[in-house]
Amino acid sequence: MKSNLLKYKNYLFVLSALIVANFVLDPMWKNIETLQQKVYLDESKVVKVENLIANKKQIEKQSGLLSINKLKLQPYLFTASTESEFKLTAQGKIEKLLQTNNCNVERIGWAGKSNIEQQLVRWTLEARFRGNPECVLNVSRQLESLEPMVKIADYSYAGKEVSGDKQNYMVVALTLIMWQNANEVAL
Amino acid sequence: MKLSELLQNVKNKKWLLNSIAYYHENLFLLAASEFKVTDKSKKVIIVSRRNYNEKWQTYPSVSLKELKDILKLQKETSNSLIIESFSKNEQQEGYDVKTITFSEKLTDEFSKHILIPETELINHYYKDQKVVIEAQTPAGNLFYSKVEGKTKSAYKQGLVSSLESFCLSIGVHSDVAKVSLTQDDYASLLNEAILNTPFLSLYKTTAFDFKSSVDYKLLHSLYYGPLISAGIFIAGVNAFYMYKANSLETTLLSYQGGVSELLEQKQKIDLDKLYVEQVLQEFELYPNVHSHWDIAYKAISEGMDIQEFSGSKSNVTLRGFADSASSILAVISELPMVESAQFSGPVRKSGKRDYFIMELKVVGENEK
Repeated sequence: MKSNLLKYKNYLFVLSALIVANFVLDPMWKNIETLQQKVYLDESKVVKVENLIANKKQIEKQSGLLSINKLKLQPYLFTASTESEFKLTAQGKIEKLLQTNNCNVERIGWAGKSNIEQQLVRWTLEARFRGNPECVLNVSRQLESLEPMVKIADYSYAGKEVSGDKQNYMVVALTLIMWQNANEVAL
Repeated sequence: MKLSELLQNVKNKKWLLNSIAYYHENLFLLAASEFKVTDKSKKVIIVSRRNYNEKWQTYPSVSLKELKDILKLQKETSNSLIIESFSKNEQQEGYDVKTITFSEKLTDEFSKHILIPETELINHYYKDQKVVIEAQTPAGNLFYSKVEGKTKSAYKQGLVSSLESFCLSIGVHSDVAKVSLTQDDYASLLNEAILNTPFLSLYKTTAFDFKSSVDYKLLHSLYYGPLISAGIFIAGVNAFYMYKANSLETTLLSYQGGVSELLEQKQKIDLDKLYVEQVLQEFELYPNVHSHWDIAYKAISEGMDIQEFSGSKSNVTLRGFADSASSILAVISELPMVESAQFSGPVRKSGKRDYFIMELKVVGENEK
């Protein structure tokens, strides 16, 4: 056995060199490429993290400003976590306003909703009522000064002849827009 | 270019002659076409006839494979370096084998050199010319000829005291051309033979102990050297990048606590910002329209009886009666909030009054 090994020792030298090159050096060379990629990614990650930490004060300041802005916006939106809660509140407000101004409500109904953002929903309400000019004007003015905010998207005021007389009788159809803040809890 | 042609071109360079020497008791340089004694060892040695024996043997009724096996065995068992060449012998259905055996002393002294018998070079020089040669060599006067394809040679001594007696002893016809060479002529002949003989032919007539001449350690080091260097380099680069990757990971870990908190805060800021922007955009989409009543008021003031007053953020429609539709249009057009005003359809007469529909474009308000 030993003599055979000695006989073929030169071949064994060549073979061992090939094995080392193929199974040790080549995988190690490929590993360098992987490590290079990892180092490059980690370096850019460190740079990003350091930039982030350097901007910590600015981020905190920005966060504070946005919180204030959000707070300022809150009164203009209907704060309700569920759809039914929102509808009850919003419709109740509109009906109360119409009643307060002695308008005869014919029909009030929800015409749809759009999810603008995760916590912001736009609702459309159609209201049809009758009333004298005083009712109509008061409703129009008071709707736009309501809090939470209610906007008139479309309006139609019709009468036999509206000439400025207080006795004129008008049929009104309004399309109203309201916004629900679905996540916030009422203060 | 074939390898043999390349080697031939290299061999033909005269500077290679500096690596060749003639041996008889001393080494002689041949480069200047003369035998010049030297102490320096050369890689290729032309050996004088005194240092080897030439033997012709016929092997009848053997195949080429068997012959090769026999010659191989002979080569392995011989203590001296030998050169074997063979040619087919049709009569005997076998082979004629020429064996040149170098003396043991020469083999020991020049075991790592390439040895060429001088008579083989003469054979290559004259090829198939029928000549008898008497050459003055450092080892004495050498007679050489070729009879029936077999080279014959002997030194001038004893019974072979002249060229004629040599011719008689080997059976050469007396008409064959006789050439007499001085030592310098002989040196030139050897040089020319080396230069002109094709490499492969020359290779077949040389003796070289490959195993004892080649330094295996050196050969292995030819590829182990670069392999080890590459190994060290690759290991070094690996270690460097591993260290760097590790230190970067440590740095990242040290930041981890604060960073995740900041990232969450940043994410919240982005969401809040988007939320605020979208709420403001929504408010801008739906401006207040109560101010449109100014238009209705102006129209009523000018004597219009309105039947319908409708619109949205930028359009307003008025339908009704007036004594003069065009005067109403003129007054309404002058309002600062009205961008444009026009009748929709014809203005019709209803008794003394005009019945019309008016469409207005309202200036967009900046509700921000």
